[in-house]
Amino acid sequence: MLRRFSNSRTFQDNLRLGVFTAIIAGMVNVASLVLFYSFTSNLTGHFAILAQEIADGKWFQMLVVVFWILLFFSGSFLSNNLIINSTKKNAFVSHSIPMVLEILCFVFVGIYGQFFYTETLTQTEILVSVLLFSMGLQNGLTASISNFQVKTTHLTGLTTDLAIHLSMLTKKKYRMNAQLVEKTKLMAAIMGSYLIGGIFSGLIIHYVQFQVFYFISAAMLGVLTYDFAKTYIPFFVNKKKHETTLKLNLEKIQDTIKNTTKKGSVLSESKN
Amino acid sequence: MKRKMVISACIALLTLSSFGYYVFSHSAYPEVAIVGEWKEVSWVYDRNNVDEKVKQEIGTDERVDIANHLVIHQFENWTFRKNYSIKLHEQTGKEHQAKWRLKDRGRILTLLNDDGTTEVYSVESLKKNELVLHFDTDVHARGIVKITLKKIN
Repeated sequence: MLRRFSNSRTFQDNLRLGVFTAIIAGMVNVASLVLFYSFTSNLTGHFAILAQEIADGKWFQMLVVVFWILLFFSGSFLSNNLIINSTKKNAFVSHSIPMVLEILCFVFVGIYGQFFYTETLTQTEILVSVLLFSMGLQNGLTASISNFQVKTTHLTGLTTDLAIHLSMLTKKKYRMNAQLVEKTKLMAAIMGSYLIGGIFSGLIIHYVQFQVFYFISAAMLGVLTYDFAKTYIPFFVNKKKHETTLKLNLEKIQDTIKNTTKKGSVLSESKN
Repeated sequence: MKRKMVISACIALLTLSSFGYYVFSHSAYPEVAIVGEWKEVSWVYDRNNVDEKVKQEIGTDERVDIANHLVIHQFENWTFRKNYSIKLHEQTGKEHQAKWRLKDRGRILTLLNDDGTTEVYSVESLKKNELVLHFDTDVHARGIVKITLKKIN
């Protein structure tokens, strides 16, 4: 899911990435809405609120929104920076760092929310900030590694694109275009997954409250581990196989040399 | 090149942290501003009927009809305390205690009653001497009833 980069990614790679991260985004957004009465996976609303706060002259409230937007921006910036500075050798590690940071953000929100949160306004705003940063990380990561094919945290653009693609598919000549069909499937899958994540979060949030973030972190950790295993286990297995084959070949060669030497000495003895 | 990048990252992190510190050290303003005693001065529908030029005051009986699931229709004075407790009271001595919290940059006021129920109000405006609430609203839609309170203490 995270190993391949840009054009070397297959449709299946992008589909898996899109579905998984959209579920996470949907879950986080609904959780933050229920717990903090604030959205964290989309920024369109925050930009509208920012404009309203400026118009109303509410400067400190405006600064909070500016800070939230900046954090989302920083998350995406950091993700992409890590990716573009990675080499082929450490691609998996570089692609994993944003996800690890995201997990840390969720664990922090979970622990703080469960044990220390007293529902003050400052605490609420800080926790929303952390979630916005994590969503920025995720959006930056998915968009960067998929060559902007996968964006999972905002559905306005996705809905527009999906509508355009679907309208194009009403014509036969576009239906023949495999790339277009795949892109449509990908967008529909992202939209559905976001909704499923949101519904699931909405169903469990009243029972588990902040612990929902542990669940999300565990799921992400699972995916990271799976990807790690898929990346490195074949490497180690092949390495071991390679070493065993080398060893066998070496033994064979040594045996052949030994036999040849033996035969040579027997022949020379018989000649004598 | 790497050194330059590290320095730039440190500067960016420092700037962002300082900005965050500044923002959050002032963000408690709505929680400070709301503390005190407030008196209801009007209950009106936020949207008028077509033939009404002036917003119609909602009468006491109507308040009971539209807000019977909320405690606020029974009281005219609201006292927000620093310790996040709120006393809703009448001059007759009748009172109701609850906990208050502000969410989403102070735009949402929640009242947590002792029976575990939560009432959610949208804070339309919070000024030094005036508090305007909308109620019976979800997070985004504008509320249908607008309650205006004046600070008296």
